[in-house]
Amino acid sequence: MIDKKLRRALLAVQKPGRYTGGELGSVYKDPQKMDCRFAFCFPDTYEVGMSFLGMKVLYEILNARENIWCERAFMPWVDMVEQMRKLEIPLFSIESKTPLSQFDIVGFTLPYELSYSNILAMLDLAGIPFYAKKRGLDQPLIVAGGPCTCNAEPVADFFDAIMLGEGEEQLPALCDAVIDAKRRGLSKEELLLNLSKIKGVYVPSLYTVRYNPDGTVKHVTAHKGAPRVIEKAILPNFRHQPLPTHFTVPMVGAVHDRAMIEVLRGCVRGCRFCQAGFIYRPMRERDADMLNCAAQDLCRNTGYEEVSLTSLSTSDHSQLEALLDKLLVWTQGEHVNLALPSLRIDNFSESLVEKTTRVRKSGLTFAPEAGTQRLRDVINKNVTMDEVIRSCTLAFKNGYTAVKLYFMMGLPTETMEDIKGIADTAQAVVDLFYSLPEKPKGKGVTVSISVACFVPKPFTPFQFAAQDTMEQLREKQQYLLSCVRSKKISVSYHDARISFLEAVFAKGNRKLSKVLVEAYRNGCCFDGWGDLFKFDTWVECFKKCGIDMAFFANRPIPFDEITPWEHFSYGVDKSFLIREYERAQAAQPTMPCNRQCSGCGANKLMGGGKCVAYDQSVVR
Amino acid sequence: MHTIRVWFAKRHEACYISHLDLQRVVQRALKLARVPVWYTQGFNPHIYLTFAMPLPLGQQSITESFDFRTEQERLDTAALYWELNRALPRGIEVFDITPAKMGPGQIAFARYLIRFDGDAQQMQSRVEEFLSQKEILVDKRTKRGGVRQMDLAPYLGRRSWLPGEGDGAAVLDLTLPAGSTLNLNPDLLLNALEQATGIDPLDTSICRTQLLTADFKEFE
Repeated sequence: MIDKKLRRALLAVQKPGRYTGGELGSVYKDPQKMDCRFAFCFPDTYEVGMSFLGMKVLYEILNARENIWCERAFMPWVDMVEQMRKLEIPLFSIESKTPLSQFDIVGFTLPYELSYSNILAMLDLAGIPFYAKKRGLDQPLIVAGGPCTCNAEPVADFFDAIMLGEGEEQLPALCDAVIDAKRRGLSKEELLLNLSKIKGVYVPSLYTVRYNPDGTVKHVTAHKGAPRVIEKAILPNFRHQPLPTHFTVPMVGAVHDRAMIEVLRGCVRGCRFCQAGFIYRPMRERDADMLNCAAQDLCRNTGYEEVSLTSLSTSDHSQLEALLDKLLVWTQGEHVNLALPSLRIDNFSESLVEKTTRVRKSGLTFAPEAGTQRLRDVINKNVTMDEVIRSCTLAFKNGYTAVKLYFMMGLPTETMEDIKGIADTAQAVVDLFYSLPEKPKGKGVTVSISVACFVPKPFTPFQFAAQDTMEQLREKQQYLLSCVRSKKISVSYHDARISFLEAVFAKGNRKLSKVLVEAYRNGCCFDGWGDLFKFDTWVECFKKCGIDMAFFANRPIPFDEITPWEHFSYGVDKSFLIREYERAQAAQPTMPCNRQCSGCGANKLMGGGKCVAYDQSVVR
Repeated sequence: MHTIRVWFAKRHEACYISHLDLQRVVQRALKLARVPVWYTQGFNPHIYLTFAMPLPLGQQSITESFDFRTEQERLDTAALYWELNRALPRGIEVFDITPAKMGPGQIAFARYLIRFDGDAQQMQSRVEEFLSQKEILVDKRTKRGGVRQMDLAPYLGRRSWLPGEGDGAAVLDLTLPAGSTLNLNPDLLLNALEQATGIDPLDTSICRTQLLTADFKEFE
């Protein structure tokens, strides 16, 4: 399976194990017996892709089907790209080393906007034409899913079909439609029409977009009976939806190399900047017994030494403490660590700290997101300074000496006072440490503050907001540095140029596809990898295509404007987003869903009535 | 405390697993196979694990081994054999589990089969002509990161050619110094061969077949 050309390439690159597959848990099948071969593509490196839970979920679901073989492909690192070009090796799946062009379906996940150029790179390496309209039945069907499909318009021209929402049932349905089309000898047009009938499947070629003279969208027309609005797919019974228990265990270190169990989906909090908090609504929990069994199976099948309770806000699970007790019965005896990555400051309790620190102590991470109470109310991050102090006190008393605090800058209504608040918050934590008689002996404290640039995202109340210009952001970064006085505080912040490009693509429309092609042709790829990011090239390409970047990133969107993503629905009503945006301007917080329903509309996805989360009896 | 030696082959895709990654793979496999291994008793307990002789990336071997410790008096090695093979990636196959009789420090030589694709007779005579030279100078990297020139010719005495099987390849059976005093990677030889004769190292493949002590006894 590894021929001479590939051997030559493998011996010339770093970490060849990224391209050879065969890991424990990887699936091998007889290609002759398959009705459908699916290449699951992740537009970033193996190490990043293998940390992505969505791929593990769908890999297991597709491969559970006898007649479908799902294999993986990743964006090769630059040294491998060079070798593949030189030796004319087309991009291949890492299991069977089959060129992507020989698959029935090539499916990309869209994890973040800055990976779009890598999608083009992967198609190009595979010898597959970029534009969907240029591909016939001799080419694989190219599809996409994942978080960024909520505004997939910038990449819509490249895909035959784009899947909105949860893929567990939708993706097998799409494969079945392809198998059916092959069997009956349907044309591509007929196949695409059938795909458009699957819940949440968007076939871009069935829609035309017209624009106003000022560049905004005039209207989007659906053709041939395709739904006017595509509503995301959602699982009918998440509480008892099985979890993957046979992860493929990477041999070349993944970023998050551990067992993961998704304890809940969605989030009750409604932080107004957070896209995930809105597009995964309503919040649904998995049953604690089921989670415990799945965690144990997963650890026993993979040999992992750490299991992480993954979700947007793990401490909001109503049975979390009970679940931890169940897990602690066996994890220590089997040398398994517990990790809770998404803790919230406001319900970070003593017994929780104790339970997670029984095996190993490391740093703690909190995300106040903004430096003043006023601004935290604006973004609806309902955390108070008292809670920050209380949680840090607890952590320090339990032996922690490093705290990481996440913030954003460039938030709507933000002033320099709020920026100073970031430094003040960090200083208060440092002062707290030294004021505690119970602090860990003989150790200093480190408070790291990491400050991201705010990027307005579709389907959030802040979708209407403009992003600060790069100059404004840089000015705020400099001001923040001048406010920090203690050597115990280390500051890191994001490159404003990267956040700017991210905003352009997050809120972009179909016109951006030609910029992507242009940028790729001019050498852009791995844009999310700081040192490979070619901002000047991007700017030139936008100019060349006659597209104004600021139009997308730095312009507020009026409530009555038709957004490029207006024809998608994630259950949350636009009127709710407007209401929330207005409350933000007045610094009025909104209750989490499990305290009080604010009528976002997501309950309609589950057939109306109360969301499960709202029914929960245990409310913190 | 007993030290158990697990013998395995590393082939196909698994040739591209680096030594560092292999260590993690084996640790997980031991855990997965529920082997009653002994954990170090330090601040950060981990499985005690040593490998006899790390294999260079890209080479195959049918004589690799790693050691773990156990406090268990009796070990069901037959069951362990199945469990471990189930827990290891493609290309890594456990074939025996024995008590560790010798220390890895006793290894002095390694034996290789090197396969040269092409017409068997022609290949054999081309390579043999190169190997029989009085002096074969190569640049060898030293442990300190420098480069030292050395002559390979004195170390090539233990070699023979396998009888041709008519499958379009000549196969050389070669024993080279290995271990802590002097370790000669056969890649060194193949690179020198390429420079002298133009034979592409990718038209060859290397498989380690045996580890030997200073008096040519099999490493156990």
